[in-house]
Amino acid sequence: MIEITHPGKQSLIIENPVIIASGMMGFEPSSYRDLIKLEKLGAMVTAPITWKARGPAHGTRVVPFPGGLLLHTGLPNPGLTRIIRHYGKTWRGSELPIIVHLIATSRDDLRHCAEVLDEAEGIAGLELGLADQVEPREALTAIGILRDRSQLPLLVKLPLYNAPELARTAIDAGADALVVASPPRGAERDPLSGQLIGGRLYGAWLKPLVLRAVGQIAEFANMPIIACGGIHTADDARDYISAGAKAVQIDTLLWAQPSAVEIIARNLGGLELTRAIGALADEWEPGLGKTQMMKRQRPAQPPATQPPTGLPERLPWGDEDTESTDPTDEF
Amino acid sequence: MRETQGIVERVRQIGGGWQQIELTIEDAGIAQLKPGQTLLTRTDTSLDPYLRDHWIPVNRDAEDGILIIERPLTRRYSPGDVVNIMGPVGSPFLLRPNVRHLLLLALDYAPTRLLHLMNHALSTQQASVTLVLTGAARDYPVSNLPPVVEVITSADPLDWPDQTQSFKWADQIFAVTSPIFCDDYYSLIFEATRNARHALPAEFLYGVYDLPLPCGTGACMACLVRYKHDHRAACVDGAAFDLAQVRLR
Repeated sequence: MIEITHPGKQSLIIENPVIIASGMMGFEPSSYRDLIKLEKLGAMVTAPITWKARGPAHGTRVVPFPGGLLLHTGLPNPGLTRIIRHYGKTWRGSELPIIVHLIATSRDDLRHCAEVLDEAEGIAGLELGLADQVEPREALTAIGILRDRSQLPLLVKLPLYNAPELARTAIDAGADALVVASPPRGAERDPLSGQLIGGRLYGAWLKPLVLRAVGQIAEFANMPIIACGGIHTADDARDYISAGAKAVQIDTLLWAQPSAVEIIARNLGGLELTRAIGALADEWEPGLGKTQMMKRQRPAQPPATQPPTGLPERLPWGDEDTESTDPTDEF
Repeated sequence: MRETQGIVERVRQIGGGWQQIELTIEDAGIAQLKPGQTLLTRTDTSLDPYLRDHWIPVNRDAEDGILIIERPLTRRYSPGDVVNIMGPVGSPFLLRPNVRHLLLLALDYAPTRLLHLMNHALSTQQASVTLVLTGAARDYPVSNLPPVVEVITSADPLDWPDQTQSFKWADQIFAVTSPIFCDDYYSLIFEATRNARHALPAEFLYGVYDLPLPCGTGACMACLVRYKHDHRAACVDGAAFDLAQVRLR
């Protein structure tokens, strides 16, 4: 069990430090049920939600580039009330804690969102996404609105550019945890249309940038930090934990190689267990711990004239008794 | 959506910069892809390219459990290559049961997305199929197509000989074009079809949205298509959409 928010009444406790970042699993996790074991994950953050409905962006929305991709979806969503009506039941029955990601569009919209979400069921926490160009004063107001009107644990996702400065603001405003960081914005030429497209950037190259920000914030922050950016291996996630993060959020790896997310979650789950008792870190890979079964030749049946040996009729290494098991399966 | 693996059994160059790959898939459920459904694949352990390749089946040999995939010749594959697969992606293309004349339009874009449907219509409904290849689609190697398919070519992306007549006799139409031309070309084709027939029944004219798919599960919402009252994900509800329901320009 890991407490990923400030200890207290509004605490959020999860079983595994691996969380699916905002926008990666949509509004609920069921579409990934056949791809990964959801119960191995700590939580999921929904796609960004606004008070009013938003349509998808016009034109090109995805531009791949070496080592990553640019994404410009326009943050489409049908608006908070419709989302709760449509997904509320799923959230209540979800095996994965659901953290709702809100976008601060206006003060009034945030007030409405906070009030509606506080009464909704099946929500484990809120994550407020701050815009890249947000001023500390605006951030202070937005966090204050959610803090005043909602009892839910509040995570604040900081833009990478000025994460340390905004981290201080978020702490002062009463955030329960800091998510470092939102993917940075960039531009890339769309090979199909030939146009330059702006959007958020994802890929493994992002990790060193975010890792530095996590280290900087961990030096002064007296609250849990959740690292997010470029995690593609268990070692990436461990680096963030070493730098001071309490948990990690995984983004586009979920799309590129879903099975790798489960590997990281099992690894980090093991790390949490072993770290608690001061032991060496555990590692998990698919197939690790599986007993290699060998086809052994059964001894020839003794001639009928020989006296019985007292051996059981079925040999102990028969197939029925030696079913392959994975002892590391239940972290 | 499930993850499985497949093995490349055979690779055949068919000309025009295209190759066909015979693929066997471990997961029998995924191997039973219907026309319109596709696969997201990765052929090695590296994440470069970052997005999975989008593999489009053009036919299925149910007896041998082989899917025939068509790919551009930008990358070489060899028999024995192991392919990591996520699928099935998308919903089957809905071929109306009474279709006798099927019109397929490849508008300045390779017809690959339409070929599984074409083979299905030929084999199960004995439909007559006309394939229109306009603009860059004319580079497609038509010698690879079944001889019963009527092929019409045109340099103009949106016009071809006897266009009005072809709209009139068709029982159903499927069109495909580049993602960057979907809005414009489908709007114009929709208008031309409506003018030719005076009324357009539901589920008559479909446009295929061959968009880049980061996730294939509908989670990323990068492939949303604007419907009249909501939005649909091309990777879940598509890739073919009834153009009478799509919010066109």
